[in-house]
Amino acid sequence: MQGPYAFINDRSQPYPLLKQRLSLNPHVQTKFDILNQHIRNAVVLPGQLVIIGDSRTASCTVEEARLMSSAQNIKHALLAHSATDQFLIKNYDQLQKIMTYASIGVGSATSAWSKHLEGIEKTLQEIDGLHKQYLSKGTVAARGEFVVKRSTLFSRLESQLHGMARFGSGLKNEGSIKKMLGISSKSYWHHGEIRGYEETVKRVAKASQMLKNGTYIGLALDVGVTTLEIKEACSLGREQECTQAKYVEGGKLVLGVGGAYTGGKIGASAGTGACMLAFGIPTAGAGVLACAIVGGAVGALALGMAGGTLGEALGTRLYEASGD
Amino acid sequence: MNLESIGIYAALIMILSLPLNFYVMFTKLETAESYLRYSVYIAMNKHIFRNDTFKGKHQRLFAAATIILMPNVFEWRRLVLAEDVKAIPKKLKLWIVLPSLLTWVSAAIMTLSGLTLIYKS
Repeated sequence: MQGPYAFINDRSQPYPLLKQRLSLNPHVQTKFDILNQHIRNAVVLPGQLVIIGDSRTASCTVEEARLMSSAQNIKHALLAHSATDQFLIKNYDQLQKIMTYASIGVGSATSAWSKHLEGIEKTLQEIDGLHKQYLSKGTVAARGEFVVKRSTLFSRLESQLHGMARFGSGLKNEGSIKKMLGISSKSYWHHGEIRGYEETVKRVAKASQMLKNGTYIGLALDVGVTTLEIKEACSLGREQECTQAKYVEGGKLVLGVGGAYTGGKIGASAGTGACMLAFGIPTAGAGVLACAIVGGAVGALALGMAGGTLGEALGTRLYEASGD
Repeated sequence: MNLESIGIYAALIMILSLPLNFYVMFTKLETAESYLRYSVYIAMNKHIFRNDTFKGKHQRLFAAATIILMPNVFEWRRLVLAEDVKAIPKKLKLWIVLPSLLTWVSAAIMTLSGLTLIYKS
């Protein structure tokens, strides 16, 4: 093979055994030890990066140095969040699934999410700036121009908010660790793909930390979305839409958040009960915890969605009844 | 009454049942749990949800209600002693079970109608 390569370790194994399995040339073995200082003389955990050096040279290349830095970061993320109970390592699959399909309070922590928020903030600032510009001129022509420009910004905001509703959308196309490990066990990964893995490990580590501590980010997120949607409608010449949005989004918020909270509690309780009844006491610990997490996420997602829809309907009815 | 109205009423009942749940969680739950101190299921729930909101009291309330409703099923898996469940005073059992049942039933109706509406739209 030309150039350095790396792969992700798929099982817990001692370093000497891993080295033996790789059947490396004697002169590559010394370099292997230097490149893999992050796992040397220790048990190599699943998810850690193993680097195979460039066999053409005995000295370290820039690419190898980059891989070493990635490996250190991955090791740090894996161990920092799993040092005592290995929660992340044991529950990686479940965490990944939750982040992809039902990331209540998880997707909000990703870097993609903060970029999302920055984009929305920028659009809102542009709307604000445009409004100030119009106020300073105050002419009829300026008003027409303002309305046209504002509608463009609103459509951009709408698309941003649409993305916002999809929790953890940046993660959607990523495969699970199982799939990734499936690839890595058969063939080596080129260094270009490692950065993506490094980022994923960091995100999942963050998610696991939040799941362990309990998080309110999902709630804050829903409140944030509602406030933004109300702001969107509350602009010049749209007072009626603003009032309607207050009712509709308010109803959606109350029943959506209430539903997600109750669903999370019922789901977690049902998940724990079902697993303990099905598998008995021996599964106590990480297995039951995984059931609770999955049950909680599914419950929160189902009841949150149902509550949101019904809240919207309730808000519309209240708005119609109020006659505003 | 159409599906939307049923769902809205169920959702409102579910939301209104939450304060009742909170009242029971903070005033009755620990007494009920003291009767079930040898239950592995209760102990496991306390352990798993110890870092959750209100020390996981809401999940623990649901767990206690499930045990009271189906003691034989849990005894079959050796997760509780049926005598312990029998020893709980009837009034306390009602306090634990009724608010939880109200929440579960209303949540189930709300979810079914809400998801059906989403599916139909």
